[in-house]
Amino acid sequence: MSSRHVSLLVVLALVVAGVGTLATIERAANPSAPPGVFNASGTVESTALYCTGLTSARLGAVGSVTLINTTADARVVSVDASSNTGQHWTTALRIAGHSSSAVRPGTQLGGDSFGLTALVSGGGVVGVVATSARGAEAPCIATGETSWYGAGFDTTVGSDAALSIYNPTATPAVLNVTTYSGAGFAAPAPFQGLSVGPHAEVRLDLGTQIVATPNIGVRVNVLRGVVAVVGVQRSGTRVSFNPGSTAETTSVLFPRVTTANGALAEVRVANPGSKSATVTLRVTLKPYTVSPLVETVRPYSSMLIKVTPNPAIPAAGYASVQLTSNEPVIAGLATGDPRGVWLSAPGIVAANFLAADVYGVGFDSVALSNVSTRAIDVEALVTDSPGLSPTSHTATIPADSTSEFSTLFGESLTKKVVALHASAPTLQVTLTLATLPAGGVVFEPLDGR
Amino acid sequence: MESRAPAVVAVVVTTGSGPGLEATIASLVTQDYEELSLLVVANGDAEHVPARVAAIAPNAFVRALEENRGFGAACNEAALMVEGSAFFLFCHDDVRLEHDAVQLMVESAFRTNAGIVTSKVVAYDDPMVLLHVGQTCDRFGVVHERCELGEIDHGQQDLERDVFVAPGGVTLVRCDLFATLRGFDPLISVLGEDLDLCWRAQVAGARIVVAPQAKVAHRETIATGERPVTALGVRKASRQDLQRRHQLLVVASGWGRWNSFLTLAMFLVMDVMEIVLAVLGRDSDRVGAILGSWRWVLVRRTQVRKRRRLASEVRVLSDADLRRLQMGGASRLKRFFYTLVREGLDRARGILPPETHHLLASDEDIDGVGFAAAFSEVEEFDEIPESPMLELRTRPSRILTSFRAQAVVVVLVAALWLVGSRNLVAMHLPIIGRLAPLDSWWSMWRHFFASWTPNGVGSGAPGMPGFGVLGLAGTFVFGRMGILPRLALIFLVPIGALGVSRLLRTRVSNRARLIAAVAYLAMPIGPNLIGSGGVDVLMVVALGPFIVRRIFELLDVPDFRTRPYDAPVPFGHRGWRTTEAGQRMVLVMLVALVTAMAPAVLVLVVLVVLGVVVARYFEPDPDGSPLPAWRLLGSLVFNVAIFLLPMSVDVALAGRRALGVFGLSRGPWSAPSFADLARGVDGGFGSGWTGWLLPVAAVLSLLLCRAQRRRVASKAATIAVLTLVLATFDAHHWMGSFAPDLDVLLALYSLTLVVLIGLGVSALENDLHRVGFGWRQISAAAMVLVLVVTTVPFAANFASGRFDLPTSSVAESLSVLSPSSLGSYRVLWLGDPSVVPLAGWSVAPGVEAATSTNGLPGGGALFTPPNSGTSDVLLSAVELALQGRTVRLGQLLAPAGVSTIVVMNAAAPELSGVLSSPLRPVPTVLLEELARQTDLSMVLQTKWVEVFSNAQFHGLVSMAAPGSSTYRPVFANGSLEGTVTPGSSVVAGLAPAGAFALEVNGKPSVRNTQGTWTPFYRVGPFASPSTATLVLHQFPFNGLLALFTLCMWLIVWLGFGWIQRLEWLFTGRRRELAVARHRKAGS
Repeated sequence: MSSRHVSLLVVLALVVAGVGTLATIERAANPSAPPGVFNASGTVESTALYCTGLTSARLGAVGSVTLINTTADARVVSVDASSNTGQHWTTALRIAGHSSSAVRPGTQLGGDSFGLTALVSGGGVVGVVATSARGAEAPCIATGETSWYGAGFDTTVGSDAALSIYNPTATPAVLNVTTYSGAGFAAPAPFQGLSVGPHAEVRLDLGTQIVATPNIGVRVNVLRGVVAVVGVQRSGTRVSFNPGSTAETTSVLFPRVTTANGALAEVRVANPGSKSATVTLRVTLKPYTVSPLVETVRPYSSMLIKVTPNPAIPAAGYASVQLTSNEPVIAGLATGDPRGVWLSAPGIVAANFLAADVYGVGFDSVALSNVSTRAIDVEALVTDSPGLSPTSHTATIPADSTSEFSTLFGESLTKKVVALHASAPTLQVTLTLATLPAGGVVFEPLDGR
Repeated sequence: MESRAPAVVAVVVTTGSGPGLEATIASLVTQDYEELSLLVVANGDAEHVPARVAAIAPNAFVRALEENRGFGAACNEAALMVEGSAFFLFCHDDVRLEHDAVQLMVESAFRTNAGIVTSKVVAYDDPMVLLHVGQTCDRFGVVHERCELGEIDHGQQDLERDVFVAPGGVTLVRCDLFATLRGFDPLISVLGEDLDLCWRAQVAGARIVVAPQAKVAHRETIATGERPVTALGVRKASRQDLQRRHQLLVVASGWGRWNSFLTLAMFLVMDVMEIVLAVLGRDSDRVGAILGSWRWVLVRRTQVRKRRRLASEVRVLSDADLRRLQMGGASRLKRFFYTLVREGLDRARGILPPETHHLLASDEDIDGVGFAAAFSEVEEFDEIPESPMLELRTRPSRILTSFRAQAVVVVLVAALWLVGSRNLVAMHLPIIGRLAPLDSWWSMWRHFFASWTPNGVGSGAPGMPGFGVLGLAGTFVFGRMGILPRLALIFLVPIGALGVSRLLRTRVSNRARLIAAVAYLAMPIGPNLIGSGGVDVLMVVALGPFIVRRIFELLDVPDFRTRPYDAPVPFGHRGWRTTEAGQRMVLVMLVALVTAMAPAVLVLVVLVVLGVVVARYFEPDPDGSPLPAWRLLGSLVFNVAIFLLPMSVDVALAGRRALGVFGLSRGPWSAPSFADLARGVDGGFGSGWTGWLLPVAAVLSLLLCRAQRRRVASKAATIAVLTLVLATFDAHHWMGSFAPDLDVLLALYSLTLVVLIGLGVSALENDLHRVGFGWRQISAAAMVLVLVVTTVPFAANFASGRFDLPTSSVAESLSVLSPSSLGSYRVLWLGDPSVVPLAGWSVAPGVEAATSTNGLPGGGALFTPPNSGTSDVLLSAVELALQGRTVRLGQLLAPAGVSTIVVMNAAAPELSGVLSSPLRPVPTVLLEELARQTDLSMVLQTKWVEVFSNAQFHGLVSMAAPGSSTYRPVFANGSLEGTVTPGSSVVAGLAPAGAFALEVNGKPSVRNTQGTWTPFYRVGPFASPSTATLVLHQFPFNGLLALFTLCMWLIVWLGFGWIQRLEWLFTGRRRELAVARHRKAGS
């Protein structure tokens, strides 16, 4: 063979090998990235917020939905509220820039449970469901869920637990609900193949099927369509919302868990899998050193790990609790006192949050946690009063650490709305309401899901 | 001054009875050469020799040796006795020289400056039969004759030339060379001493020449076993033993260190193989000979080292130079394989080097055996032996060389194909690929001439030429349009195979063409396209070979244009078609025809031209020039654009979507992987390991091709690689919106592979026997094996009788497309471009959007202009949803009358064991976003399709009653006429808004668009409900454009000689008169 021919063959072989290698390495994946409502770009045609969890006064979670416009432009919001009795109420709102507006579906509709769709012309509007009794908050979501997990529900005497399920779309949703408790796995027949009509709201009372059981883990598997789900826990006179999570987890951070005297704090864990899960709780409480707490959660079962009171953990303010598990589990935090508890879900880790003092009483703690191994920059856009343009503040959160908002930015959150934008999606924000004893009520900020 | 001839001493070594000694002496005595002395060496048993010699040559010297130490030792002894001589003439005692033999050999020695000269050796009993005309050997010391067994001497070998071995018998050796070489090696007593001497002479840089004018008859009493071997120490050894051990000795000491190691290693491998075969055949003699040869050499390893040292002292030629003088490969293996293939294992294992003379007579015979011979095209194979000499010749077997055999294969394959297509004849054709039911013949023409098409939300763009092609095709089936897709599915791939045969005509043999054509049928692209209903790309499969052939001809690819173009004649005259301009025009029309169906074929053309240019850059053709290539490409594209003027206008108006004419982006996550592309696979066929067979055969072919075939193969390989690279980039969406149809690229890729295979078969026939045994032979064997094995998956393609074309489709399985309300509606189809059964536009990679009106897609949806126009509103809405920027997609689509959104993840549903279709899902985010739309209701969700109903749907044409803002459908389904309420407002989801008018009671209503793309009509205050009709008012620009295009095609067609033929039509004169006039003018 001539050298020219060999050269050609070599070049062809190299080209094929190069392209083949590149093509093999660069395997394309099917994109599945749901957007967030924080995308306030002018190109957004419309967004929707789905809010549920509010109930009638009979069931204790009376409150309102507050819609907050994070943009400078006014937004027209079309609200369509539904009750579990099939009633609908629609209204249109115009929310000025950097302002908010609240709707109270309970005053317009009959029934015990309410869901709401807020259709926004454009983007940049977030919503929060809050009870009037200052103890329960849940963010409105922008994307319906096809799976939902919540832990820590009680149906014992004096408590009742329910799931508020709202179908925000025109597609009938079909779902299954399964529960995990100390007694094991349960799939009550009335909770299987449950159909939720278009734009309909249903309330599932867990106590009707899982009677007098503490620490119930719940899994909602949506077979068709999407739904918005919020767990509503009533414990004595206290009502709390458990926004749950869309997936099981093997690592959860509770950065502000109270250890105060007289308080109660429990990490409640449910294992939806077929293998036993070994759960380790690492409690960081400076200047003390606390040995890790290790427990095993049986398959399809639940258990709780008491942080407060706990003789191994001194009563010394807020502790940071890191839960890790060798198997995916559902986790939740129950806080309060012996008279009753509030439930909260694990915090979301993301880049953008909105923290709003809906109640106007401020917070005992606004914790900003950086869960990565690199420091991140956080920009806080603080809106002091409705209609005013926000002021910008910037701070850096060291790697793998938690800082107080007031420490970082030198101001409190009282009666303010703060949009937080992190340089990387490794930020977790935890809001703790001022209670006595401290740390009783923990909220999630609005994450724009 | 008196000049004297150089002195020659003839050394005749005689042993035992020496039955031919007298004749030998007599022939030497009668030599014309004056300076010839005669020395007879009696090798033991010498009592009678002096008397016998003296009786004939009294002046001869006789030297009697006490014992027979072999021919070489005797010659060495004689050399010691001689001084002052220029040449030794070493003779056996059973030869007979012509009277001028010595004279001619000496002359030849001086003329050529040869160190050793040999003569033409003929049979002792029949001087007309050649025995030797010099010999050659391979690197393993296996000697080969340069004439055929029993070859009659007609003087055909009388050319003085270099040879590697001067066979023993009569050998003229220059005395100084003999001294330098230290004579014959005494280790070699008999059989092989000539090879050893010549090998060392070659190493020392001496020439060895055959002087065929010098003629010697040789009785070969030792070689034929007439006389026993009586040399000292070898009396118990058989000839086989002697030959093997001496051969091994020569090889062990004849090479440099590295080559010696390498050659001995290969030698050992072959010996081991032979031992295995010998053991199987219980041939203990052979086993003993082989083992004995190695033992003999190992025992004498000291002498071997000494020989090597001596050789290195006199070495002039390097090993590489020495190799060049020898024949290539391992002739032992070649001979074995040849006999194995032709005569079976028993005969093969019985072949031994000493018998080679009797089995194979020439290099050509040896080289032309085995796989090479099996593929030989030489017509001589058909000859019936007419003479005993011909019968003696070995006759390699033949496969598929006769016309009858080829015809049988063609018939067989055609029958197989028809059997494999049996269900396509009558089965229901599903709506997949481009198998949407065609409209009537008239409707196809109407689509071509139409001023408005309903695709998207409607468009006034010119009709796509594909409709014209379908209309034209429908003419040939007398308007039975339903037949067309069936004909296409069944016959287009075989037409492509014919094209491949045509492509390779005059370049390769009929057998190679046949194999290439069958390989084309076996390539996965054809069955996969049939199985996916890709009729448009099947056109490329069918006509691609014809296009490539014409491009190659115009680009002067070697051997593709066998004669120059005819002299130019005026356009329209006979013979214009065969001129260069005519040929270009034929190519243009061919490309235009296929482009009308599959525009990506233009990319194919570019790839072919680019491949030729790139290949020429590396390996220029003798007369190749890259300049005409670009000129050809430019003119081709320009002319095709003219021939497809409506489409060209569409492309020009399409803006950023112009590139979409070549194809839409497929989802990289579901596109074929690189391994699939390398196999030419986009579907179920060929996705297993058997899919690699033909590409492997193509690669082997590329390696086997030589000479002109190699130049063509280089080009085919370059095109294949360019195509593969482009297809990979395409599949991974690395070229943005430029996403030529992947299947079109694979069609070209498959075509180049089969061209390579055809050339490879031709290489087997022509190139392989010109080289020695080596990797090429192994590659050839592998290629033949691959081609044979390929027949199994090829036959498996026919199992279903429909090439796995689904019997149903996802589209047909939908019974929920129509809304509950009356009136016309649109269905928005979303999915990967490879599964959506109608033409549309790209929204994102893996998402094509297209619409059908009032249900399933029909023939009118097969082609759509790349210019989306107003339909951008649909695409933008889907894009918004895809990006999560809207939750009210239904509301955005409602003005277009979209009632249903069908999201397809597969073309056909899967029924285990019955139906299968590849899953090509849309982006998951699309489904997620559609699920969160507040105004869409999911009505069907399966693995293959999801269907959403639009809650905001209000009809394609809707009406709002006076005072109401709620629109409700008006007009019956499929109708643009109905009753309207006076004072109402009517809105139509038809674009462009200015093209339609609403006539109420024959009078046009007031129209405005209210800032949108939809026309709103205000119905006047008539007294009672009135009849309204939506009327299209559009200037027939599209029709004129289509007419112009058709006329242009007609004129060019007339240009192929028909103008001259029909001249009487235009001139009123009879054709005969016109011809006579032309003749007269010519004379």
